[in-house]
Amino acid sequence: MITINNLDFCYKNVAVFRNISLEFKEGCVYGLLGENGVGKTTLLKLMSGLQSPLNGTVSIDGFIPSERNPYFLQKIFYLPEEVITDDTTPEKFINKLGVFYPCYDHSYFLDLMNELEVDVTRKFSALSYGQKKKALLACALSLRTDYLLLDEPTNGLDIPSKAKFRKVILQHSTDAASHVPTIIISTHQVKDVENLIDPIVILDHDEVLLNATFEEISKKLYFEYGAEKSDEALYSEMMPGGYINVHPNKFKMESQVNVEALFNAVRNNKKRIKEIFNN
Amino acid sequence: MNKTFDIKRFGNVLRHDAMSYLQNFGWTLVVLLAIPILIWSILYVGMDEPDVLMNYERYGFLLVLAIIAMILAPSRLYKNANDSRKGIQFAMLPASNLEKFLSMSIYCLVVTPILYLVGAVAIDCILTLIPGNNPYGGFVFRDIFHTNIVMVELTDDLYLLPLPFYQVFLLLSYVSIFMFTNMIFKKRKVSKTIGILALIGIIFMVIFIRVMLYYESIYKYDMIPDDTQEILVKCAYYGYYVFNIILTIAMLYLTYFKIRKQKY
Repeated sequence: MITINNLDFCYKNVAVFRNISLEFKEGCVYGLLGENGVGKTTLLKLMSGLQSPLNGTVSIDGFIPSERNPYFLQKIFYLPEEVITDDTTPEKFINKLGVFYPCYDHSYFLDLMNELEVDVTRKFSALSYGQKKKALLACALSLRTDYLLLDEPTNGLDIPSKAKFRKVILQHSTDAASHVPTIIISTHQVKDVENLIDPIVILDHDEVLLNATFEEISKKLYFEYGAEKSDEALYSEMMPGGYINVHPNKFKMESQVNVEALFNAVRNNKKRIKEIFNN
Repeated sequence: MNKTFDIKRFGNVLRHDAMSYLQNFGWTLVVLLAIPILIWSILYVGMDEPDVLMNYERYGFLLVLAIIAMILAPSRLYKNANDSRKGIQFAMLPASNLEKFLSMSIYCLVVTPILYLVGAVAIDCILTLIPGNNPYGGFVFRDIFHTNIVMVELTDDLYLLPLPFYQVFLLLSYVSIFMFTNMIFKKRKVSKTIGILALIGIIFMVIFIRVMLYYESIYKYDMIPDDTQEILVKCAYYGYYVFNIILTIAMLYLTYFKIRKQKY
């Protein structure tokens, strides 16, 4: 489990987090959402030990990430948004890396590369941006780490690749053959991962605005799809065929969560949402 | 298994770095090996006097190129180790900071000079074996093993100072500085380091000359007895020798410390 307590962090004099506390439970695919510059990537870096907290603690299964203990590093893999690799083939790259990870599965890597339609023998420099991203995703998944942190993983992927991304992540997160990993996906492309992520964490500088499962969200909020805009709604947005209105779910009605509308509802009603979810 | 050092894990780090070695540094080595071949070939063709390519000069030339290879090695092999984006792979490699540091030291301080000198000496041996009017005075590797004694010339006398591994420590201190600055500077690592070293050298030289001029205005150098002069010069050599050892240790420790504390 990942536990973050009273975390403060700043870059030089620019504060990024002030007294944030948060938990990530094992075996879930978390969606980490937030506005630009809110610190999503920084949070992933703090969790992978690439940065140290100014105050407060980050703990993963009892390890302090910033110490970069090799046993901790065996349990976690961070795939940054920007694709940077050596000028080598994905196969050589993973052969170099795989020996460090006790659960690395080479046949799984080959299956994933096949599934994602990337040639293992072609150099990274000869692959397109999307292909590089898919190759690195295959590498990351085949290491079978307990924690997988993905920063904007669908950026640069074409439409079929996005579907394949969802498929492999879903298979990986429910694979009975291995222990179930915790995956944290930081993204702005919520539509790409809408059916994949659960729970959702919405981050702000000062606080965690929301950390809830879809079930909890649909219990607390009602997503009304109608022809008219509601003035009483927490958030309304025009969409093809009408409006989506987000209301507090006073009458315990069932509805389908729309992540984009949820995000905007939370962003525009920070205090109200906290009250609704704390009750 | 130990979290600080595990021999199997260290072996994996060495293997990991070895797999990148030739890719990152192979061409640099080839170019540095080609330089003596090119120069000696040109000299060989246009040479009248055979004694210009004697052993000692050729050995010195190869040593200078080996030093160039060694000071380039950290910035070529581990150029991304302190880069906030490209260095993530280095930082997240599941090995301890000590293992990463030791591997870096082995490749920069041991593997690179050995690879270069083996290559260069092999080429030189082939040149030495050229039949006919061969201007090469013999095998240069004979001189590699005569580097622990420093000759000091004072007035008319020649003193021999036994300073074990003197050249090795001198070399290590230089390379360890480049290893450290490789973890400090983000870009133009080698040129910035050379610039800083040159600046420090100039400052020291100016201070030294001013001090010498000051003392010479008070005392005459000839007034100092020969024995005292000898002691002073020997002290200076021993001091420089000890300074190099301390500098090497300090720079290596600072490199390790920087690897540990590096943020991305």
